[in-house]
Amino acid sequence: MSGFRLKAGGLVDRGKALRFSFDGKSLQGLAGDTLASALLASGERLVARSFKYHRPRGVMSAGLEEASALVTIGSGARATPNTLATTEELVDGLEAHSQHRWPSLQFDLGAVNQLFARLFSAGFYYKTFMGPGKSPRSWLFYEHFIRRAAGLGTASRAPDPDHYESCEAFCDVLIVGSGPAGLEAARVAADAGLDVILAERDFRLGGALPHETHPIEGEPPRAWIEQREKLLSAAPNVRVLRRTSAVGLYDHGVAGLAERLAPHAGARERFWIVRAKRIVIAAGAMERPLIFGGNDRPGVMLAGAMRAYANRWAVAAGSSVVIATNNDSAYVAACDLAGAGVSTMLLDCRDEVSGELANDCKTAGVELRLSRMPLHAFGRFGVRAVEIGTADGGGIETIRCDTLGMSGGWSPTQHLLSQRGVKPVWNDTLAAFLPGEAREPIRCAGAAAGIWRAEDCARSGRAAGAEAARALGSSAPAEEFPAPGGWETPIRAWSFGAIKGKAFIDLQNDVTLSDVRQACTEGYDAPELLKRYTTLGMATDQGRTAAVNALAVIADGRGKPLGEIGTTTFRPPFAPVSIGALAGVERDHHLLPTRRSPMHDALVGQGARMLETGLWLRPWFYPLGSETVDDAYLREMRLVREAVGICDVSTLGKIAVQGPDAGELLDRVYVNAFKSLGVGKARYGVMLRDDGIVMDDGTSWRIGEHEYFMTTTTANAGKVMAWLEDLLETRWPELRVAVTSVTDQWAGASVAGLQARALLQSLLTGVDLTNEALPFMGVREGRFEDVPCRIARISFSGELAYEVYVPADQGAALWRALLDGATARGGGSYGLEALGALRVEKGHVGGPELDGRATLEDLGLGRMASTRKPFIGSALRMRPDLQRKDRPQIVGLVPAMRGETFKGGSILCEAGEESGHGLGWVTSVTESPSLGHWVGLGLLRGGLQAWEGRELIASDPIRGRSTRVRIVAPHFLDPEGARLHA
Amino acid sequence: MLERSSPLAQCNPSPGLSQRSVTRLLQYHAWPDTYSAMAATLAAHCGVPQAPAPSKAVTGLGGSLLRVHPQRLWLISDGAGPAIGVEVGATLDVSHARTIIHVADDIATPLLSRFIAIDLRPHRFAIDDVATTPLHRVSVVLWRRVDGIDILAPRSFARSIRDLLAETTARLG
Repeated sequence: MSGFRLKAGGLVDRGKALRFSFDGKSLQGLAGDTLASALLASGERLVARSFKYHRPRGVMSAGLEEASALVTIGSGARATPNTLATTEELVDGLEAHSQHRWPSLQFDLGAVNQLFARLFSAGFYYKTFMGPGKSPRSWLFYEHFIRRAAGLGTASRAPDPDHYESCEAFCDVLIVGSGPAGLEAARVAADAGLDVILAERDFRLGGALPHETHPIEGEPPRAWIEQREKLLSAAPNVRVLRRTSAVGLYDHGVAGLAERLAPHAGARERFWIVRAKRIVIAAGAMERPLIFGGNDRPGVMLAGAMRAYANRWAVAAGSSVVIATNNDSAYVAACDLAGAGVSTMLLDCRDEVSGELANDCKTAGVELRLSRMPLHAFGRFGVRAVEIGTADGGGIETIRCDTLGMSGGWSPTQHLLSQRGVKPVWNDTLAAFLPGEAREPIRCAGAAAGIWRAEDCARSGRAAGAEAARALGSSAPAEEFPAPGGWETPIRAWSFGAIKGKAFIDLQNDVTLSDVRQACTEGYDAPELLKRYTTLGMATDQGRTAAVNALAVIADGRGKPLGEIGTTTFRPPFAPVSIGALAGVERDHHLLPTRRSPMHDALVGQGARMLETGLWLRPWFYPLGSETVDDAYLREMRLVREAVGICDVSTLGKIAVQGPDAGELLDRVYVNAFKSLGVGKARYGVMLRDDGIVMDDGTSWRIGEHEYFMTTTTANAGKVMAWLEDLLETRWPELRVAVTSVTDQWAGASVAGLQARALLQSLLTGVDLTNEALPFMGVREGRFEDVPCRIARISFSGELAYEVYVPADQGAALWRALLDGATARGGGSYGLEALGALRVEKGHVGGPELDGRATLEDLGLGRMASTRKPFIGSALRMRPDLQRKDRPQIVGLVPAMRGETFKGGSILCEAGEESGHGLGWVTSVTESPSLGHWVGLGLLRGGLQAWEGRELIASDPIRGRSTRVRIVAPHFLDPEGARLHA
Repeated sequence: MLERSSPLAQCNPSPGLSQRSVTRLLQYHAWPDTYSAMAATLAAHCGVPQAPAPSKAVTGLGGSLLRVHPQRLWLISDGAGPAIGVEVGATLDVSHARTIIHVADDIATPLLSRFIAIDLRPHRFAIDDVATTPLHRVSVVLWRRVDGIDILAPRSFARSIRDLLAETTARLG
């Protein structure tokens, strides 16, 4: 018989039925159920298939330790695979699917793997596909098939439609777990005035107390919980986070908590980053399975889980139950089940127990069998009988039952402490790892500290709360930490000798007792080696239930005490966390912040096609009608060459360099001199890295005796700003210089073309723009309407050109006025594509040439370097390798056949030698409407001196194209600068 | 005077979010040994006993002073700031460089704690507390006011930050 709902009891709302489906089958549960409790109550015993052998699996636990009942929740884009049925809160309409089976859960073809189980033993992959004697190609061949067969569940490939968020929080004390220890720690800390966060994984507070029937401190458990819940809810200094798992502890009291939010909360999950002065881990303990043949069959469950289902969810896991144990804790489970009307037999491998426990069994109607243990469970889709015997294999008999409970002892949940590098200490008496000494203010309390009795757990919680309060300067009543333990009869180590059949240690990864033994025999008998050789302890389960049992087998095989075997280190996250929760709100269009220029709205309103360049949105081109980008940029170039064009250059980096030593700073960072630059003048400058490679270029304007206005490339603005700050903070703190980014303070436009002067003169006042008053590289201040502005005569295009800057909030007004004026003069706006093309025509280096590898000489700028002053990079740029004559150097490129085109990125090579890295590469290309053919820039070994006038092949192997190109000087247009100085 | 246009002009209204306009934001930067002199000048200008301590702000009749950097004070005022000599420090007008997004008191802490790793609860980040911190990867200055928190965001990022805050506000409920 399968599980069923008990007629009374439980913490479920019998008046509120919830509909849900499992593999398309419509079922019904109750408010307060988990998916697992609802499935059990509905008689669903088979819920999953195992990882390697596709063995039928059911619900094994009632919490986070579940290794078998993994399901996919939801469908389509919202499907979440590998969800534990035991922690999934039942909601109306919940849709669950079994996974890792085909074509159905009942009939899974993958189960054929069981026939080849002998092949899939420990180290199967290593032995079969890798290592001596194996072709390196064999793994490459098989890997594809193995990866297709491996893995649990399938994530949706559709974008996740749900929202997630992260949240920062601060507190005096973070308490993980709300069992008796956690609740009392929170209460005492809150009473002492501390700021408390209490995180509980479950949707109900109390930890394991809701499963409890015995009074705690004289009160019924539920009343005890409710009283504390009420106190904490009323306390303004306490934040209680339900459905929240503490998944990671990091340096300085930082904790990561994953909270699942209720439907309609606005987001699906929230990731908390909590900074706590102290942390109390009261995360309870996890019951360990026993190792015997068939211990993975549906219907084999942890004894504590069976009790939890009966007491909290009013679900009997079966009608005829055998419980096997090696410790006292299963007695109360057996008695509670019997009390609920379930036929119960208790097998205890120990030879004797206390009279009180034996009497409890007798009173409850539990048949107690001492010195007996299960050897093998029978059944396919559910347990139907169990063969039992003594530890040495004697006294064998078969007992019919439909459910088999097991309790192999308890493991304190101290994974979080382990994440902090605290090694647990093995306690032989309790057969459990207890918390080691933490050097950080972290305290384990309750069952997490190996304390088994609920009242002692509450005491330890009070002690932990008081300890936190005193440590933080508050007063709190003194309370002693109780000693670990609490059982009347000592636990007995499990015996593996008489076990029959396939006995599983790690149910999630299908690692058996024989796998572990084999690994030990083959020398992989250290925990870390064993983990990698067998996969034990991997995947979502992370060995929560398997670790200690595996260590016990290793200890057995090596003949050593378990405490000497060592442990693995647990790492975050303790429980699975959605990637969405880690990403939070920073996804899709908020993945990165977007920068908009002061002209943005005007540009968009004008019809500009915008382009993401770094974080900036910049105008790419301004299409007229159905123009393509190629049509548009060529037209825009003609506007500049023939009339006047305006371009938004607000994105250029702008840095105010102020102070008595401002000129000195610039002299040190630029290769050329700036201290001697006159006020009202600008100069083009190049700065190098320490290693002598070009970092960035731009102009700096001297706008006052002690103030410069530095411009940088858009791409390197942040880098240059950080570089200057770094230099001033670390190398030259004695310089009296302030550097401030003013990129956002100023809106800038480039005005280029024959009519640039006329256009600006019509808009600006207080400034004379004639050649005599404002020569090339001159800087002046004027007014646009009643707003002060800065004008520099600077050209990137090779035309008569100016850059004009106004305060950012007036940028849009300036743009509209410039556009009106330009249009009236037969000109217009030009975008990024035309801007780049114009500079290639002129032969200016830009981003593609400043690629972090080029030197001044490579770019034809060597003569700029001052010989009268040192500057950053001045020493290392003289390294022999950077002075080689055959380094790639800047050249101009034109197609040998003028009608042909060539691509940026092409390899430059001699005819017939079109392979490898070639002699250089093409950095930038454009069609030149002024010249009537394509032009380009490239970096070529030996440069112009070695190749001028010769032809090479621009080979584009990716697109399968080759073009003959001629090497020419990189100044295609107006090399004398007549237009520039017009 | 030519009207100023806000980078947030195209944003839809969002409850609890607004823009606070300031006429003038001036940055004063002192040299390593001249901070006291500069701070005294600015305190006198504002009519306050002394300039604010690090991460604090003070407001007087002459304007508000924010200590945003060991060597820097920001003066927010309607009028011109005091002149300081080059031997004391440097003055820079950054009035257009920052856009002030005001977050109303009732949502300020829950909203901003989703982005900022500072304890913003009123008893920890009190009125006239100031902090420089990343918000959506952008360095901003926070200033707790009587009616909420002002975010002094770089102008070019202001709309992106404001959009993110508005979308999150809508989910706060």
